[in-house]
Amino acid sequence: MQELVGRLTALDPQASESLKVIAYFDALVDGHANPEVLLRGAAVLSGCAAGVASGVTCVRVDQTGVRRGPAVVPPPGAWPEHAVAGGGRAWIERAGPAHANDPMILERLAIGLAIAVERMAPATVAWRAVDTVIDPTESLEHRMSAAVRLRIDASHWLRVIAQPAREPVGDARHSTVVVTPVGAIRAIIGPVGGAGAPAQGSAPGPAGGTDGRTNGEPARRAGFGTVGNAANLSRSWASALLALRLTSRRRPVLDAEELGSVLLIAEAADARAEPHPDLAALGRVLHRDGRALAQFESLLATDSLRGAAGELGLHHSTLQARVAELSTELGYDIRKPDGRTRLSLALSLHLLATNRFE
Amino acid sequence: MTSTSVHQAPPFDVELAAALALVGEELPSTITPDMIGPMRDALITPPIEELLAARPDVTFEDRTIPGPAGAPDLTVSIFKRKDHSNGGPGIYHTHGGGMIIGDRFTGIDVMLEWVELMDAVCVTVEYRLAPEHPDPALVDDCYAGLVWTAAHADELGFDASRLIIAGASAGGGLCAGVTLMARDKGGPALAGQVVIYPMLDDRNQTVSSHQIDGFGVWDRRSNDTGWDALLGDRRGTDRVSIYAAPARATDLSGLPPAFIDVGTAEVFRDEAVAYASQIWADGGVAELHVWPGGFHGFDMMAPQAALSQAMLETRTKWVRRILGA
Repeated sequence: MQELVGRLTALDPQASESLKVIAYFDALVDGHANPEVLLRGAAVLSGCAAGVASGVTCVRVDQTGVRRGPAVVPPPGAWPEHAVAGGGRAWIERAGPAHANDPMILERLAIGLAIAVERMAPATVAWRAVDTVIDPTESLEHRMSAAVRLRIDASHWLRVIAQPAREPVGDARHSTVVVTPVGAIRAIIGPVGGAGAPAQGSAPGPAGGTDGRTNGEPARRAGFGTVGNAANLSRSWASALLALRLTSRRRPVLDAEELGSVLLIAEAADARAEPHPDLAALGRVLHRDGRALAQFESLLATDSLRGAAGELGLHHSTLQARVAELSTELGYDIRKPDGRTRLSLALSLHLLATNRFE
Repeated sequence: MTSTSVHQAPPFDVELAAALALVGEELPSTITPDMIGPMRDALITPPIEELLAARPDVTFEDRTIPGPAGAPDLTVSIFKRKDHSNGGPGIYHTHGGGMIIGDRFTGIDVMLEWVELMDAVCVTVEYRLAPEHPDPALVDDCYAGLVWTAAHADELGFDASRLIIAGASAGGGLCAGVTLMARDKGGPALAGQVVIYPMLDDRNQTVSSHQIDGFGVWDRRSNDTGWDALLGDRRGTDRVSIYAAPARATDLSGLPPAFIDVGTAEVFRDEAVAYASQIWADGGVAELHVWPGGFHGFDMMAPQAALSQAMLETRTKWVRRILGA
């Protein structure tokens, strides 16, 4: 049967369309959709009734997305459900086996609901002020008056921390969610206190870190923005976002203050439409050889070929040969200091181009 | 006026923007002439079998009827409830598709809702399409279908004094054009015209026609494609009749009550508003609804959205009021 073109209908039960689900809910969050609109989105995409219960409130829409009458809270586990950060659970009333997109719909619904509820809290005024104070397109005057509303002393040292929106945050008072081209990102304004320690409940682990695995789970990602006063918070946010986009599993937390001029290169790369030839060359190598990324990272992280070989569990001469091969493929010699710098920058460009935070 | 000298278009409604983000790629904003063929093959609205499966109380039959003098016969489909009682309202439907695509079932579900709700009889006509058949083939076909419908009211089972005409997009333009023709030719009588986000103005020079350029649904250049196909090099000249481009009419007096709706973020916004304003200036009866954040045909793309529901209910309420049904 021919696919209907250009109409929003329930997704195919078999075909996984994660990107579409994400794009849809991102657009709703970006447009500040309220919980009913989010539930309607879940209902339309899944073809099921959908609801959310949090504390004493319960909102439910039927499978056409219409809210009919007072909703009854179903017992936990009655339907496929997903916890909503900050308390509560969302569900879709799928009778029978799950469809391919149900888990993703539930997950994005729960994330969107958490953001919507947060936006409707009494802290809404503060949230809008946070949006304004970090916005580089806003005038200095608007940003400073937003800072006043947030009771930020103009002389305090502050920085913005960027983390994926889906991750929990302790105190949401000075945070907001911005939908960016790399996903929904939370911006948290925090003080710079005692040797640059992060604000409570915000980012995990030490800055500039090591392989941050804890309990076998990949470490949570975060970017710390440049330090400054209230007038510089927009620049801090921009640098925090760049720092976040430069993180990797190996370096899950990065500090813009310690990245140096890599930030300049990141800004320049963003401004270009065409990828730099070094990025294209790196991309081809990474695409062809699944081991290459780990090898590049080890080479850059250690001082010597031996050190890298040890980390990778390879014999030194094996790695030596490999490095020669990789240099040929990249078009420059990564054994030399200049080559290492070029590789390091190319890897940064790669992270910028490929990192997404869903 | 150029596209660079107007303000950015009004924003899309949040639910509609999200729908566009999800399905928008399937429906290109700009339809160029080379895309007419593929668009005719694409399934833009649900097949009639599927629509009727969801409306088990409705039945239909196809008939062949005379076309305009010297032109081929026409096919019409007639929809009514299985338990239909004679003497209710009649609806004559002119489908949409930019004058270049679609068939008599395009957009029919809105009419089927009224058939069910009001026990109306709906006749929808398969008119010839441009560019193969330029103006006046389309509006002449539609007028011929209306004449037949009105003349056969008793046989079809509706009250000829409660016959309305309805159409969306290009069908809205044809609806308005046929209504003008009916006025100027002295018949058939119409109780009302439902002019849904209509394509009325071949000149394509309104502010909204410049605002929607390269994004959304049925943008400025798509409009060029449709009007060029319909009118060829007559387009934009004084050789365009008011039946082909109703926006050209300077006298909108003596028309049946009109319902006109349109979105704020579509090319047709300003010509729809101008049409209503002209009706009022000429002392006529019109109801106008402009839906904030709606792109062209948004109720078809996202029928469950709150704005779509509001648009559909508002139209239905007007029709019920006009028909006393």
